[in-house]
Amino acid sequence: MTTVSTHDQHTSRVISLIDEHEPEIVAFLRDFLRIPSVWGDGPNLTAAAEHLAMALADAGVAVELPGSGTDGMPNVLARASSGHNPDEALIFNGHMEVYPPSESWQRDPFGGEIDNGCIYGVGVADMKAGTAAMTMATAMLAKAGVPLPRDVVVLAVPNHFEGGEGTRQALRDGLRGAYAINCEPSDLMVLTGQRGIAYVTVTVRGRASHTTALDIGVNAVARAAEVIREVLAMPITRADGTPLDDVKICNAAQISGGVAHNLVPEKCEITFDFRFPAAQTQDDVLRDVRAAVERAIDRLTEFPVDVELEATCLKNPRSSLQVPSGERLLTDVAAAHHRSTGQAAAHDVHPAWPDTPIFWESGIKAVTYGPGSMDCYWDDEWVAVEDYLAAVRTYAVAALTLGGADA
Amino acid sequence: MPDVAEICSDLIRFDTTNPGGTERKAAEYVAALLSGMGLEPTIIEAEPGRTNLVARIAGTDSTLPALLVQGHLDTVPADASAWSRHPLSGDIADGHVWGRGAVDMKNAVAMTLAAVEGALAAGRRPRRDIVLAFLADEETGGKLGAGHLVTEHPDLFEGCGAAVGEVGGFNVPVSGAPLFAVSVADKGLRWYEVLERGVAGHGSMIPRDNPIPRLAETTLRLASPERGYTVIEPMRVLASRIAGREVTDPDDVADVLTTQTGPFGRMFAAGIRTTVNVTRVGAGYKENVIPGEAWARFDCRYLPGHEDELEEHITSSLAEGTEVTLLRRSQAVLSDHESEWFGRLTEALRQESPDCAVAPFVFSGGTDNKWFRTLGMETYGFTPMLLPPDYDYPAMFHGVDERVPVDALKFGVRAMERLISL
Repeated sequence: MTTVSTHDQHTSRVISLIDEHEPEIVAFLRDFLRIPSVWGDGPNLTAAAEHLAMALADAGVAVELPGSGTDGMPNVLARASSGHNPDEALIFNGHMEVYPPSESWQRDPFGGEIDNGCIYGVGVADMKAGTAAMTMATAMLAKAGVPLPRDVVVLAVPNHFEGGEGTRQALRDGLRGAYAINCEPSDLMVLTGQRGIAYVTVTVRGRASHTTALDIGVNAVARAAEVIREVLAMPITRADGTPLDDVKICNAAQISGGVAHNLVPEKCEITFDFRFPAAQTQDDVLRDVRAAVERAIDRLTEFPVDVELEATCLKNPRSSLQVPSGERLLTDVAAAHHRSTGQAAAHDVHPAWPDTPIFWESGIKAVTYGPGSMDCYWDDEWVAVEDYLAAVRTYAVAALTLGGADA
Repeated sequence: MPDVAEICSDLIRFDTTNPGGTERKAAEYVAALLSGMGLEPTIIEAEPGRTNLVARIAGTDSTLPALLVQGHLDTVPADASAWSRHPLSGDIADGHVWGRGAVDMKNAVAMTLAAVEGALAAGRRPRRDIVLAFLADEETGGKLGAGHLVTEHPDLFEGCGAAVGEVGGFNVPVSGAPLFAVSVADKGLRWYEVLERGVAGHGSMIPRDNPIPRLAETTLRLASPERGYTVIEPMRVLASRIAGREVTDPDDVADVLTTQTGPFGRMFAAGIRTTVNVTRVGAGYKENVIPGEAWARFDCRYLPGHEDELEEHITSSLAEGTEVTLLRRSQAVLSDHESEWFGRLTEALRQESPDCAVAPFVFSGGTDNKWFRTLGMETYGFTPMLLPPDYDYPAMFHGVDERVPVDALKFGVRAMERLISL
């Protein structure tokens, strides 16, 4: 009983500290938004990393900027030490890069503007608010000086869009933990899973000829049109081939074929973007597409069709995730959310691809929880300031309570 | 004066590859031969090096309509590594003249020169004016050749009632007496671009309005292979001559033309179909972004008299919101296969091959005929050659190891000499 009440006092102390520092916590996010850390921009992504590092260092957290796996832009790796086994850490994970703003933004995309309780900026939902919140939560924990039940690690990466590269690099370099919270936007819901991504390239072949030469030409583009029709219509299946009830999310993203106006094209390439459900792997997707190709067109021996995963999927597979039901991590993060907001936590799955499955693949239990909408990339992107602050509190509470008695 | 095989060989050795080369050297060679016959060729270049020659042989009866005999000097490119003899060698070997242009159409130019030389040397002046035109730039459309002449120098063709050029005058491998096919028509061309617009978005979303699947469906409707045959009269006549009976049903015509003509089956098959080919397609720039638009290009070839039907097929196959643009159009050409001119072509062949039959056909591509047609001439594909049975003539066009039998050239000289005397 004493232990519990001590924990609760520590939690209250941190929350009070966060309450007191709200203006600085908000200013920190605004300054972060003002750094145009667009995907690929090494200098600005380095500046973004330094922005996070400085706040952490000021709070007394040990911080370094190791390689991210992409030249010219570091990861941020910080550790608030508990004195316990560092391999039992809680890892907060977020990314720093944003997509370039569209031309139709009405507000300043890098202004960090606040209007009517909302903070605006490119990538504020995806995911500067989340990355700032985890950084501030860790800084506040350190400032509060409360004893930590486990190490708290901040891992911010500049290259999540490259298939989770920075996160994978940190794990390759030996980072270990018991838990991870990925801070991608979830509308402050505790996410139980996400779909995997498979970019599948289908190369359809035919035989070139002049368009007036009947019966010589075999039109690869016409054959590709049949393939598109069948792939979009096909069921998605389990490894054993039985159809799945999950909604199929598949988009034809690219098509290209032909060389001249008067030649029958001999090659046509299509790229499909699959978001496959938890019951599937990318190999299942390949099998589904290959079966569809065989139904769609004939003469495959003569004119073979290649069905392949795009290079980044081979290098960094983006698998699907379903957190096992009854997993304590879900309950604990939900409890932290309740403690922080007074509201019961809701659950959902993410339509895009946070780095969360990468942790599970390294034996680290992980969940996604963050401020902002899960809709990706839109003009005048915003996050409610209240949700940002709620996330800071939830992360701080989670750091003190995750795993309960085993801490 | 060299003989027809030597002229053909000499012409092949001039590199007149189009695009890339020029016709001037070959034209100078032809001009020298014409001068040697006492003719005075007019030399016209729309661009430096892209030489055209026109010469007129005055006939004995100025009241008769003149005949234009035209041929192009340029050739399509050739990849020498695939050939058993160099495509510019002009080798005369194994009874053939070898090289790029041997059938398309330095052979015809050589036959014409040899025929005119033979007639004039023997003191046989033609009855009607004969206009000779040796042209640049046919292989990429003819703008610097026939197109330039008919727009800038139509006076050179004054009084011409008909033109003979490529492709036709060859015998189809049927049993019995030879059956020569003379082209009376070129198919027309329409190139379209089709554009589908949709709603761009992130690939993780359930698709709302992705233009790629819509473009795929439009493509399948447009390029459906189940389009029926379009048989126009010349092809019906050809099929009847081949079958030795009246053939009227389109499927029957198709069956005769494709199964009883050996290597010509494919070429004739294209002469009874309007074709719609998708030739290029493009959309999207990133694997996780749904593109805002998707486009495809279509190459359509229609039979004379069936352009509206093609246009109707295209527009009725489009979905609501699909945008279509006509990128290029070339008119179909059709001449009378019962005209006095066609009769003269028949007569010229009969004088050399007494029991032969002559039938019209529709050529599946386009030729310079489309330009001369604009001056009101009847136009025919007539490069008379009696071909041996084991020779795959259609495969020679733009093909590897293009070559022409020397005997066929000699036959052609005699038939052309007959024609210019009629």
